[in-house]
Amino acid sequence: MAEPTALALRLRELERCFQGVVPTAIATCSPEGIPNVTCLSIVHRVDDEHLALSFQFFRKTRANVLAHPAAQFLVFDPVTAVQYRMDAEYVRTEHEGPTFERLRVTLDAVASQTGMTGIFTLHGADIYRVRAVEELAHDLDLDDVVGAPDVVRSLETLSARLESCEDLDELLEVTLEGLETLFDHRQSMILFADGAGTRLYAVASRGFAASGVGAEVPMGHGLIGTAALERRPIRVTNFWKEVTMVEAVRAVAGDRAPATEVAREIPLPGLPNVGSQLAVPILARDRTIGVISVQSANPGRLTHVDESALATLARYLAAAIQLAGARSAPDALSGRSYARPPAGESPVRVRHHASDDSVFLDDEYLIKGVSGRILVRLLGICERDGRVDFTNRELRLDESLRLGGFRDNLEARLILLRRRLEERTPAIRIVKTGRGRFRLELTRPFELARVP
Amino acid sequence: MRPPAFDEDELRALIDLGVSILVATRSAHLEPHATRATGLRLLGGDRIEVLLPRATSSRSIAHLEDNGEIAVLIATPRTFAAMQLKGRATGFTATTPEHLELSDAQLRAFADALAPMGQTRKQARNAWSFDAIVVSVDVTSAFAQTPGPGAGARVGGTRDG
Repeated sequence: MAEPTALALRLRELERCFQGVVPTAIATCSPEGIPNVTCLSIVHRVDDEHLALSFQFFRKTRANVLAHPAAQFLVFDPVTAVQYRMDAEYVRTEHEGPTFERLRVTLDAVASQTGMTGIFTLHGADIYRVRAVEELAHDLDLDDVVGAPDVVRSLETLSARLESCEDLDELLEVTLEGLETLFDHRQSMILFADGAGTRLYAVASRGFAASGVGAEVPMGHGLIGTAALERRPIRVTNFWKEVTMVEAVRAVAGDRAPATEVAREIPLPGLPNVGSQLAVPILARDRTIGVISVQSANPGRLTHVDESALATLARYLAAAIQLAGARSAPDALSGRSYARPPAGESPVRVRHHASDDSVFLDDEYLIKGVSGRILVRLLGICERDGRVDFTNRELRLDESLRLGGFRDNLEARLILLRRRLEERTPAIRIVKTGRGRFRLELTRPFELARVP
Repeated sequence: MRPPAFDEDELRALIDLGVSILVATRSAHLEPHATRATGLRLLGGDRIEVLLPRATSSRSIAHLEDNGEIAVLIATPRTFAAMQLKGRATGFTATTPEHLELSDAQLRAFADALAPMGQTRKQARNAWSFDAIVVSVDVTSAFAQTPGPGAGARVGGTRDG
């Protein structure tokens, strides 16, 4: 066989074609001469000459190429509508290595998000070498095509804004606001990992019907949990297609795999009919700080460019979060003010369950875990001493809060608690009074009840 | 009486969703070839017609004239639900205004299906507005092609082709 020659069009220039927006077709032929054509669920570009297809279910295509390796792909650029035809040949199936891992992680994430863990299984990554690429005739006016936004400039702008943020609260706000105004990601959220590294909790979101702040995701579950556990970005370009596949699997499997319900009191923010989603871990050396995730109602909206941009942004954010933590750490309480909660109003009934540190306000769930412990601690001090001014530092040193050293982000827990209070009641508020300082503002008295 | 190779009603429902029509042929050396067709017409009795644009399908047309072996995939980009028909090309004719009207209607439906994905209607329609040839196909078998464990399963009856 002749040595492969460089392609006139490199596959990287056709990256948009592989995102699953418009089906990619693959034609093969059986040894008996019967042609076959099918749409591909996942096409990954390995390098400038190779494509990888996920091998999940045995298909005619596979049987054909194992017997007779010639194949032809027909791809469609979803932006320009130009079509390309690629002569290719099946070369091997990989069961390990970076390409297999990339396919496996995405598949695992979708499987766990759709309750299909153990049913969606990657058997292998089928590698094809592309020998020739041909652009098909068209009469399109390509001048009409809207150019891609300048991602580098947007990153420069947003990273500069992050540098000037004072604290974590501002960092989160600026990040999500920038994702919308500079990158047109209208639905976004940031989750932080807890101190034990077993769960993630939503600390900020933008563009969803409900903020979902306080929602928890187990590490390794769904796109977000998998991105955190595997420490790599995960992107699903066409969720509608995945849903079709899930429904097809359920129909064939006689619905033996009901969706996995993850117990959580606050639903994770999400679009009702999500088309595409991207989750990128926020990493600090060996530690996973959290995950930043964007969603779109449209399949194909989130591309490899968005993935690279968000991964870069996550690095800026990780550095900025660590810097903000270092800045706020040495702050001490300068003046302490004391105030009694106002009398006359009916008291807010605050119920604390020690078993999971869940807190209910007037029988409505508010929060649990570390944030729950913090609120009860603050109210306890207020009840005992009448004090309402606090510092982050004293909380960080408070052993009763069991913060798990520096691994649990106290600032993130406080932001979460403040936002949950804002959503649930006007009676109790946490208000920033300076860097590393805050005040408990009470418009009604409270009754603190502790139950096991 | 033999059962039909495919359920026309089921296929019509799929076409109504807005579909892309993909065709595979093969050379005398069993090299597969893929192209995009338009204007799928169901004629009853396991016979169909598709339009192949000459500018993008010259090799497909040559293959069909040579050996007649054809596979036609009807897939909706919205959900990837799909059906594949296999059979033999039995004739080639020029397009009539009726063919072009049907082709245009199907392209409009396809463009509508793509619209939520950021595709403009103009782009989707322009992609295939070429002079085309009508290929008549005798369908011998049909396969469910929606992604999943059922993909590739034969639907309908079988005919020797």
